[in-house]
Amino acid sequence: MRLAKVMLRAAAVLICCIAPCAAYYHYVYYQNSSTPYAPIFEKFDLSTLPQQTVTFFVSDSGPTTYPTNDSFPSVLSQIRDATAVWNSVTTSSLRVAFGGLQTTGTAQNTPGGEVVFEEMPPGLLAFAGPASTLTQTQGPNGPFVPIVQSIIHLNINLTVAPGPSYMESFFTTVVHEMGHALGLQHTFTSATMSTAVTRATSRARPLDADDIAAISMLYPQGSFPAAFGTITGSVTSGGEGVHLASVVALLANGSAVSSLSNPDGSYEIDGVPPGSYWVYVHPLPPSANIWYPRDSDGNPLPPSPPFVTAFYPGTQNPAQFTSVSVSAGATVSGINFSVQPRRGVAMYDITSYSFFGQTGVQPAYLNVNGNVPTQTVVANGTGITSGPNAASGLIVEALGGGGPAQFTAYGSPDTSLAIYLPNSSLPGSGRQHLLFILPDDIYVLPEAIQIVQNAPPAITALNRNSDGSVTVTGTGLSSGSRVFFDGLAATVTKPYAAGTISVMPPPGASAQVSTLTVFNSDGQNSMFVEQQDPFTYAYPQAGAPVAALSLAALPQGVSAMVGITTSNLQFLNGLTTLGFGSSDVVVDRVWVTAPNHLLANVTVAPAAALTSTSVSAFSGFQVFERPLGFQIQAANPSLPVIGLPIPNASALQNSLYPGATASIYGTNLVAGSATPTITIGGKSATVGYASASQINFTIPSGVPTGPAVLKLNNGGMAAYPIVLQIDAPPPVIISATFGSGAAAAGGTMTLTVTGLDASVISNPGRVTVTEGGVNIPSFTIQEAPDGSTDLLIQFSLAASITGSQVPVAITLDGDLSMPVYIDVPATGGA
Amino acid sequence: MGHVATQACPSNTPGVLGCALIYLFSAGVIGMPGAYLRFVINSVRLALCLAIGLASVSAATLERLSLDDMIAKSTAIVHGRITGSSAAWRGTVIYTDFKVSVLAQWKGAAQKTVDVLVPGGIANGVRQTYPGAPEFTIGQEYVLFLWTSSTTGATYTLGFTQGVFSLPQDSTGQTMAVRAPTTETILDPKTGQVLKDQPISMPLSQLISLISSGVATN
Repeated sequence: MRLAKVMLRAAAVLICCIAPCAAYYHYVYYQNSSTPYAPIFEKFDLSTLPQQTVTFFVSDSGPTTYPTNDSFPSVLSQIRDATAVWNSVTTSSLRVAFGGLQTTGTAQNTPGGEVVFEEMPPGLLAFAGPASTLTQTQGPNGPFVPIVQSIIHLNINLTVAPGPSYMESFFTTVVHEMGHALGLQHTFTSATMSTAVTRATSRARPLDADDIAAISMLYPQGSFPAAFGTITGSVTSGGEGVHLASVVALLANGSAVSSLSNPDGSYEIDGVPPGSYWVYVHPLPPSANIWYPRDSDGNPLPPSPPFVTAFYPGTQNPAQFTSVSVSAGATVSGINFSVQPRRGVAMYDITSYSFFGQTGVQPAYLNVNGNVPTQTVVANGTGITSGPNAASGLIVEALGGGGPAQFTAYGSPDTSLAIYLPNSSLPGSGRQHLLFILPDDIYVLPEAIQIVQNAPPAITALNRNSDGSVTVTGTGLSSGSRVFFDGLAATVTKPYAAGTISVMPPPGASAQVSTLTVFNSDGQNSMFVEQQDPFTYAYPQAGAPVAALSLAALPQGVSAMVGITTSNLQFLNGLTTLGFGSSDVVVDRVWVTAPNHLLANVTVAPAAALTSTSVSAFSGFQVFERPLGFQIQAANPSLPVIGLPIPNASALQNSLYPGATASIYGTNLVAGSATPTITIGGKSATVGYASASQINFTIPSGVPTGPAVLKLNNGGMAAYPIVLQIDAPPPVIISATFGSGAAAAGGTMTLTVTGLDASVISNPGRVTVTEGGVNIPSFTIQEAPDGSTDLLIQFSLAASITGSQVPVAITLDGDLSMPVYIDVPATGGA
Repeated sequence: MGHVATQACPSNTPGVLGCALIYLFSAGVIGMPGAYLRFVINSVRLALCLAIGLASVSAATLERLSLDDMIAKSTAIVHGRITGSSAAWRGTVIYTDFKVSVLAQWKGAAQKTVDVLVPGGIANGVRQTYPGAPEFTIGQEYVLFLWTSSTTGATYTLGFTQGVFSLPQDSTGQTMAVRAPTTETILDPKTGQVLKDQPISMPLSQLISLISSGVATN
């Protein structure tokens, strides 16, 4: 296959950094052919994504064949959950959303993602990858190759693995494939982007440190990389750089973060959480399935020949491993490896299992409280056995586990090892890594063992309650247990007590039979012990969902409110999704105003394709679709356009509330010399400033909290109405008292605050306290003893802050109160 | 999940996994010798059974196909030379169409050339990448296990790289048939368990012999 050259833009392309950058597990291009190598990555261009969000749409043609009790709504729920997993990474600025159904072939100009179901040749069940331009773009972090579209291909037949869709394996498959679609390649750290041969993630922990580092590297934000450390060095063999060596930083009883080396052997591992790590280097296995980096001519750069795996500082002897300490914001450099070549990779693709009765589970879960003196882990893979026996000279031990373990080879023709670990040698919690040591090589299986303190959950009874909830009775349940109906978590109505949890089933499709699974926070689930005969829940027959939309068309470049009224579809907050079948149409926010009604703000991209798209609405497993139900029309240059979001004019405030000043940014907001008018919830808003592109206005008093409709007329034409979220005003500090009678550094201060709802007592993370602009890390919140709705916030003044007029303020959900000013003498006193 | 049976599993109901009992034997134990070891072996007894993949059986991209499976499920098996390629959009996916000049054929209707579609490629200024998709070199020869869709008429290799054997020469000049293993999850189609894909390397003549006898059997 002829590969086109990567074409550079006419403008000079800057090298992203001088020092070797991480040649991470991404899709990589090199502009230069000599050291220092500066990799360029394929990734989404955030500047072209609405609200920096890539939205995944699912083909409405769906699978054609389902196993018993599986359904398309269940498939959709798993895909939606997978988008939520990647969206939850706070150190990544890329947002990931579920966009609902899409008719195959819908024209769209905004980059996005797609999930399609296809007939596949025998042996192929799923695959995914990005499509990118051939031209580089300059971004704030350097040049990159923009991804224009990503597609996840799933088998049209769900009776073959990884189905059924309600299994955890389907969910983790979709999460993995979605990672490819976002720009990630395989790793070898047992993270989600590792292949399932070694992957140790679960629904309870769907992403590992390596995954978080990888996606954050592509789309950094927030505390990345400042809150993390970096390890750099080189891998050489005979003085020559080793390309595509996998360097892994492994935390005892924890996760691993890794990187692949550049063509000159240099490497950099970013996104390493602070801690003490063992660092080792291993060759890519023959089965790596890495898309090799491309050189400036577009030719693939293959890996260097294999070598002997080595731990820093260059040993295979566990007694000589030297740990590397990583601190936040710091780089540990000079972690170099001089490796020995070998003919082939001796050991690879090793999997660990444990057994629960007749069910094997990967990775191994060992219950240290299981009252057994010895735990057994089974492992198999290439190179650790030879015929029916263990490989000659093989030693197996848990990293940090106190020496070699006993093991037995058994089984034929697929021979495995049964590894015996004294229970007393296991840590009380966390993960344990296994080492497989041959006389001339070593293999590391990160997170081979998950240490737990309890048996897996098991459901023993299911009872329907008169209010529609279901009481689940079982063993191994706890307050951290979640009950899933197929792929959706149910809302808890009565917390765990005495072996039961009561939950409200998610809205179900007509006659749907849903499989129940209990997931515990330690990663175990009830399918460990109930797979052969799980509990199911049958939803009643119901009519097909019907919906009426308030808008069936919008022009390009416009934001507008859309209302949907339904029957046979019950909207619930947190379980409701609305989609318009195209990445050119973004649903900014949804408000469920009644079980059968919702409002949403929708934005059509300025360069949206002029076409008709599907509209779909989801609540739980209930799905409504209207194919070609929405039309994107050509832009109207005269139309006043309200841009979203509408911010509070004060940078110190996050929300909008009566009395606040807000700003609309848009176009045609004023017609000539006319005065624009704004109403919110039917009440007139005072306009303080108006121009064609900006209007400042005051939220009128008396507008209740919740969604309110904003209408704007520019004096000649009305804009499409939009929904504004009105919140309560920021909290107000009404008084401050001191433990010693006066402010003193290090002394106690108590604030009496109004405007805080009592729920913050159990959810104090919504509140922050600052003194002199410095965060006070520890404080208590309690109700005022006078029976009022006021709350008391008590904390210790910072010992290091003194002076006059020191401001003390609080925030609620990011909204800042007016400060109180105190004088803090250096030696205390009034 | 690992299938570790030492005994043949009973016939399985479709979708239901069979079960086998595994007994640990004191022979062949490696590690610390002595009484402790014998105590451990004698006091621990495992019942290990086939199981559906759970927990971390994920990214299940590929279904393992034995050579017999590939012979049975392919619609054509050819020894061919890649003579050209072109990439184009098919809907929202770029496929690269590899032209294969058929040098020998052991299954399927005789054909002089065959077009094999591989997802991914470069078309209209866009590169679409699918890790794990087979990559062919123009001018090279391969043994290909192919499948043609009865719906679309398009032809693909079986199981991505599973159906592709490269044909290098060994140090003696003998032509070998080599299939590299894949790290994409391979599931046994009968049991759903994760299996390890092993590299296959044999003289081409041996592969041809196996194919011929397999085709004859089927």
